[in-house]
Amino acid sequence: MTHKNVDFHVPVLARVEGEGAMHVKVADGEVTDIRLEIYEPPRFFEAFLRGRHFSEPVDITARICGICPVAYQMSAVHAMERLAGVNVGGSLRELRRLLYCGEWIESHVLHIGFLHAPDFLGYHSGIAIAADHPEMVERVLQLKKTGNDVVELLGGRPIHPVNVRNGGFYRAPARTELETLLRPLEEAREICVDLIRWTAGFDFPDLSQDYEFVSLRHPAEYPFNEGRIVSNKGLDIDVSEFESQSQEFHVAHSTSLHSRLSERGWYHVGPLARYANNFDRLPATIRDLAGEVGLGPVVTNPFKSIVVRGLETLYAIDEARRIIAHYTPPPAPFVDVPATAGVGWAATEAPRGLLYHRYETDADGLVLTAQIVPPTAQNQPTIESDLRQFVTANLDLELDELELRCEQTIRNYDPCISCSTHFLKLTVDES
Amino acid sequence: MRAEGALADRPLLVIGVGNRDRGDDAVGPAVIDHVRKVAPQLQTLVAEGDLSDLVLRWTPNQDVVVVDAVRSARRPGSVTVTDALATELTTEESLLSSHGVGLAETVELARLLDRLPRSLVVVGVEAQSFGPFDPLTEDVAAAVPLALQEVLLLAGFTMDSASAAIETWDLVP
Repeated sequence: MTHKNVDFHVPVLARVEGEGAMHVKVADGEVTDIRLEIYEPPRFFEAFLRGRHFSEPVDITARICGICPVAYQMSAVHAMERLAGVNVGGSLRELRRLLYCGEWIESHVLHIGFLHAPDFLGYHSGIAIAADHPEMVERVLQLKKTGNDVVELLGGRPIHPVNVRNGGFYRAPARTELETLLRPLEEAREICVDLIRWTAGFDFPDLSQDYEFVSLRHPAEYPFNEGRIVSNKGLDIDVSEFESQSQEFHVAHSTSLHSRLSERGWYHVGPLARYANNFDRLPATIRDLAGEVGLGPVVTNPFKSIVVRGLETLYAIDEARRIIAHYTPPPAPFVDVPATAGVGWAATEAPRGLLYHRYETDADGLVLTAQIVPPTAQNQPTIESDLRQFVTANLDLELDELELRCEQTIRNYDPCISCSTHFLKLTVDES
Repeated sequence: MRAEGALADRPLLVIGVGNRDRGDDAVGPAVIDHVRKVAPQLQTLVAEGDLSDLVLRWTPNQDVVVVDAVRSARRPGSVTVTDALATELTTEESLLSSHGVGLAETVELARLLDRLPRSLVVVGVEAQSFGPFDPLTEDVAAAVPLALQEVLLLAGFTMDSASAAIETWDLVP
């Protein structure tokens, strides 16, 4: 039967990072209310950064998130270096990309294997999959561990790395140390290809929107750390223009700010956006694999993000292997970044999407103001739009199934609620 | 220093679980810091965040002790010792992996993948607060020597040698 009136509330969303809820209300066959409620208390990191020395945000902001600390570190150091007019190149730049490869692998694989795959396979958790697919789960663990090992070797710790500083690293690894990662990465590549083919065989619900995909784009690389902010609908700006082109605004049901682009509206960041804007920057082997598993250069069904995350994981593995194969230790582990009065901006590509930082410092290097715009905050209006369209098209589903699919719709974005609060429960109200 | 005991002749891995930057969640790593000083011969590991990697580190001939912040109805700072292979851990008892797979899920995952160690004991410290960048609360900080003592006893120390080691390092609250 098709439901005319629905009102459900999922008080605690599972398999997302942080605490949030979902409320869906349908009256006379029309969706009247969709809310992704983020109730995790805001953590006021930006206020906490004021008065701190410009060398500290790299370590303080890394504590915002346990799954994407590298992203926070990279956005922070790039902003400080831009402020000081310092360009970090050569092997130090390559080591930063390698560190980001490790984070993409561990974050993407955790989401694919343990948080998102259960939705497609009908399990309540990633752990439950292990009872029926032990070999695949064991391989997923091995793949994720490879990412952890990259981050630990370069960052000193598998989460919240402590080896990153403005200008580079406290210690640069020897070539022999990095070479220990080559064999695990080669094994990881084989596992990742199998994982991509496995997820591509899932049954994907129908959902497609005319998204404005926003991401970095670099002249030569699939983006991690650098590039202009672009969209598939003509946006093409320097990172310094981001705040003038976007608006953050408060909604009553969320402790996380929402974002929209001025005169353009809500937009979509993350793997689907990066992939759409940078497909031509992927190596031919990965483009060919995408075609083999049925993906074109643009994917507009967010349920298929699980496959795109797999392709991005494969890219990170190949990029890590390339960097290690050509690595020559830098002459010094860092370049000097002097205290400078001014404003610095940076955006890098966290696993979940564009992560923007801006810092204003005085001549002593003390932070006067800080602004952080995390990817989940940017994606909230898009997630609610997806929910509205999905519920409208699927009111014939049993309520339990509808509720589960709505949660899955949210998990398509691998939302990091803790990051955004600086950000889920589902309520369906059937009146 | 190591004395005779049930696990004295076995390879023992002591794992501190928790996020050092989230208040009482740091108690597991804090205990490991002391284990490294008092009993440097023990193999130790700090696991922050997602714990699923532990499944790949456990071997069938290994004895494992995990120190973790727990949340139950007990008084803050209470120390409990639980045989995790004989007891079903619940998410209420093993909390605070702020991302991904927690301890209870990791044990279940290891069980399904036939990767459980020979023994797995959880030394739990009842936690009170998990604020970002907060230090250990007073009751939990005061419980660190007792949790350390439980680890040393599981490692084969006698009560006398464990107490002496803790006093040597001036860890008595």
